[in-house]
Amino acid sequence: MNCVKWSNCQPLINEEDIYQQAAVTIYNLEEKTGFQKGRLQITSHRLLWFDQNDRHCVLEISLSQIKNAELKQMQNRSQSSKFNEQLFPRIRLLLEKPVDLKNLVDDMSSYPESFVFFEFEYGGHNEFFQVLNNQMNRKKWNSASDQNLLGTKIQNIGVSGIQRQIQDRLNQQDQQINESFKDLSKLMNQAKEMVNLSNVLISKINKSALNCSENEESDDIKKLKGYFLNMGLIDNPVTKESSGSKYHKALALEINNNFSKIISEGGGIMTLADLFCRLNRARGIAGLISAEDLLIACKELNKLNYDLKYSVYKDLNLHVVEINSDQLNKTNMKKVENYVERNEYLTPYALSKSMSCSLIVAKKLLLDGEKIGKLCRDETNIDLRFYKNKFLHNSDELRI
Amino acid sequence: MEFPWQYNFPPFFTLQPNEDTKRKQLDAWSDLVLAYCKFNRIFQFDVNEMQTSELFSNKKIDRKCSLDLICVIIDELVGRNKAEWQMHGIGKNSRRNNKCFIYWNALDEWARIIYDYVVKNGLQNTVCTIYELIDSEEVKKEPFYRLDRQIFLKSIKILENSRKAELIHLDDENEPGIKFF
Repeated sequence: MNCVKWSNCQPLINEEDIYQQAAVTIYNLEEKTGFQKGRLQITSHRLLWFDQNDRHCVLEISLSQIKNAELKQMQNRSQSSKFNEQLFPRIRLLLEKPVDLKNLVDDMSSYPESFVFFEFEYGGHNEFFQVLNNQMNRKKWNSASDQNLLGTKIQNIGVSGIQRQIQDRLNQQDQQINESFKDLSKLMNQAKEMVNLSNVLISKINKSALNCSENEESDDIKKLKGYFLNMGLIDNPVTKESSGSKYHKALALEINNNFSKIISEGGGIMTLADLFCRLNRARGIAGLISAEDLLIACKELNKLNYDLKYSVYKDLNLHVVEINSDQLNKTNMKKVENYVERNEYLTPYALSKSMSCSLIVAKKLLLDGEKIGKLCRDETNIDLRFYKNKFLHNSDELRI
Repeated sequence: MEFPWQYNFPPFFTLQPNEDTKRKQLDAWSDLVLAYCKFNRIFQFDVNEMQTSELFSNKKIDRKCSLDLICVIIDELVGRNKAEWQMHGIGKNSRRNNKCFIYWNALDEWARIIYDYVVKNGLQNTVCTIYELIDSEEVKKEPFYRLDRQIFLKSIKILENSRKAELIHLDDENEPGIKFF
């Protein structure tokens, strides 16, 4: 393989332009070659020589193949023989292998010597020589770690640099996300165990219920059942896969079956937000549902005439699921009236405590009471209190 | 004076949103305001000043009416011809200010009471001074004793309109006299 070869000028990986000098002529030993007054360019990997007139004529010498380089200053004309006459400073390269420029150009005479000269007609040889030595010491072409270090520096230049930076960042983020999900998947596995355990417990309860035939359920099991009910633990949660196009209907049924009792105990109303949280908690990891699916399922409830219905209270901007019966409203109102009778006045907070319903539901009940004239309000800077409506339901005997 | 039971009922001091309840509440307030003003012989007051009075603030239960509520109550009284907002400026530019007259007797009632007194005492066709009619010893036992001047003149205006009295302006310095028919 020849050390001096034609080049296609394609940049190598991690190659770095360093320096260049115009009007450089190549000598093979003492003989002038046809490669005259071209541009000599040095990169981190090689020397490139570009012909001035023919842009396809490019030579390259790998820096790795240069054994050593030597700067030959201009010789005094009187001392030099005519044959050796040197008009301009030169850099002499000793190459690994003999240079045979004949292989490149037919009419070049062949020299089995491994020397090649570059003659610098316009000067610049000192700088070039220094750069050449630096690059040969650096040996970038075979230093991997160096390559990386300098590589990023080069890469950060220009549009492609920005693109690379973004790509790097994305990669980093991907990695971080993957790592964090590793934790989650562990958690999921543990949760699965929990769900399995509770499923085992449920099946045991069912079995013991069968065994104990009628009314002999032990207190423990009763308690446990109560807990499960409160958690609303659901067997075989409905999934999109299992129910397909009837998904929302099935979901509505699931909500109806599992929450009717819980809701009727908590004032008969549950906000959609609460339902969303409790339903997803109960379904556990088996399949969380989206808020939108829940909304569609709740609207489905109204078509099916179940125990539960979906309503919107516009004045409170409140979406709720409530027991589908007028009876419940009446009993709720009775409860509220009783509380007011006993406590002189009620705040939404106090009512929510004593009825174990959410604050906004309690407020809704109180406002309902006000609307039908059972209650009246006392608004202060501190809070909103509701009193028994003595304006409407009081005889004048009560004069003080 | 005796306050009604509502006065010690905290919701009384919050305007009720329920229409039925509000009606009852405003009825009670109207009665209370008129009774209070009659008892204390208040003929007109400034809303801001009155807010801190015993009438609109109950220190015992730590409640007081907001200005808005007081204005609603006055508006209610205006609707019953038992109060009137005092106006600021004249004609189109006139604006309501924070003062109001309270007519615990409506204006026409005042007019009737005064005219009855005049007829009873045979004062027709004589010219009386305002002082004689509302400030003198002779009327001390009459309900219009120390009646607010502005309200008195408004009542006389009503009598004028039904041709039972006439204001006689003697000169600019003295108050006008009144001749009854």
